[in-house]
Amino acid sequence: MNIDQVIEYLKNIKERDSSPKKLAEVNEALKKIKGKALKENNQEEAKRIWCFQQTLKIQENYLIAYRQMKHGYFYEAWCTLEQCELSSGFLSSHFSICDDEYLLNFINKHVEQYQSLFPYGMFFSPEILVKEKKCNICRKRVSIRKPCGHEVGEIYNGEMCGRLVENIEFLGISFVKSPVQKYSVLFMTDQKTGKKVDHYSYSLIRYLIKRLQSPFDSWDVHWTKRRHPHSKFKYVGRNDKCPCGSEEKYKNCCLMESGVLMPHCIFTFSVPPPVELRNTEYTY
Amino acid sequence: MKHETDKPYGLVITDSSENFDTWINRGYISKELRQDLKNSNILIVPIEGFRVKDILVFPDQTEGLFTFIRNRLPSDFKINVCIEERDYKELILHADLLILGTFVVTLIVAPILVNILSEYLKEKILKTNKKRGVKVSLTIVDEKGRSKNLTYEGDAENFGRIMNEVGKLNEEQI
Repeated sequence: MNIDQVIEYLKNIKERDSSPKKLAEVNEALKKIKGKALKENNQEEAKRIWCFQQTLKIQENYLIAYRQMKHGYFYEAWCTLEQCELSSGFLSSHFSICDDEYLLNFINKHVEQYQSLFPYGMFFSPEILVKEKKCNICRKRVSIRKPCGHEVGEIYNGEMCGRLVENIEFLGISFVKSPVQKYSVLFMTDQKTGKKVDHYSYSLIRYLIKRLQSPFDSWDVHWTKRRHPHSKFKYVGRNDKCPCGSEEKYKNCCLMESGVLMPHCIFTFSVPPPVELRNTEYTY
Repeated sequence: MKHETDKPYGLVITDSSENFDTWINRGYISKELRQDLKNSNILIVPIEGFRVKDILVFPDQTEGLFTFIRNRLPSDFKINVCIEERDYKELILHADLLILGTFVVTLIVAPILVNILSEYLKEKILKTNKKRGVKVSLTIVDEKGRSKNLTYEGDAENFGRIMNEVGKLNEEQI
């Protein structure tokens, strides 16, 4: 494959052959083209190829995450969506995606929307003391007053500059609501088997993904509030806390109203869902 | 130290008893380095005693930020880091709050520093279109060694608004 064929492949994300064999072929082609550019010391071209490699990674991870959600592997999908987000962050300052010919804007928007539907609220945040690190480009030890000259996040020799941490000390762990590493979700453990128990409810994503027929069907989500009939909350006593989350007693809060005020999620689809799944409501 | 923030814009200004001498005369600074630090207009100072007594740490990515500021500072001003080379360590907290660190800065250079930090945030955060919190503390010192502390904690996109307060300090003196 030459570079024009690779670009065509990247643009044709909706209909292309995404088999492992084809992907390996595209990745190999990009590697060769970058190698040739580096031989000729063409840094600009090597950087451009790095951008295409990232683009392919984002596109493929988006498709994988979609499949994972379709098959009910929600935590796995969450981690894959995070990979999309990270790669997009790396790419954003190097690659213009204004006209969205590679669908990266579409993917970024939908990755964020999917993430907003996951039920995870608390995460681990490790505290790590970095004592020694090296530059991944020149392999020199990083010194605060005598930098190696390579800037983190910039592209050199077709690779993004980062730091290789060589000596660390683990100081502690905290719980946070918005982590850098989204994969550090808190899970329960089965006391008998010691295995992870996924106790989260993925009802919103299940509802949505069932109605999507393609990863490229656009959709939007709008959050509002609406009252749900008291008959759905028969298990709540008058003196219990109101199910709306106000911290007030039920009898002093929503019980005085026509229903319980709950978050309400409205999806809009660019491609109508299958007939039998249209105009349905779901209480979660 | 908190790992995250939910404030869109939070600026706290307090009187401070710290100035350049407070940091330069710390026991962990050698005589040779002390001489160098005396000529600085901006000092990046460590967090002292995080989790462990006597530990000195700088926020993650201080190394890059230091170079970023140094490359953009007018040539007649100097920035340095208040630590011996061998003692320099970075603390990584894996929460989505970007901690820029604590800076001791002269009154004259403070607006320049705020501009450079705004530019840094634009490069590192705002270009990615992600909403992210940021925390930074500035100890602004006048010619007589009097100082005020400005601590900003809030959205990266609102950080530039602290320039008004820095400007007021310049007009009114400390």
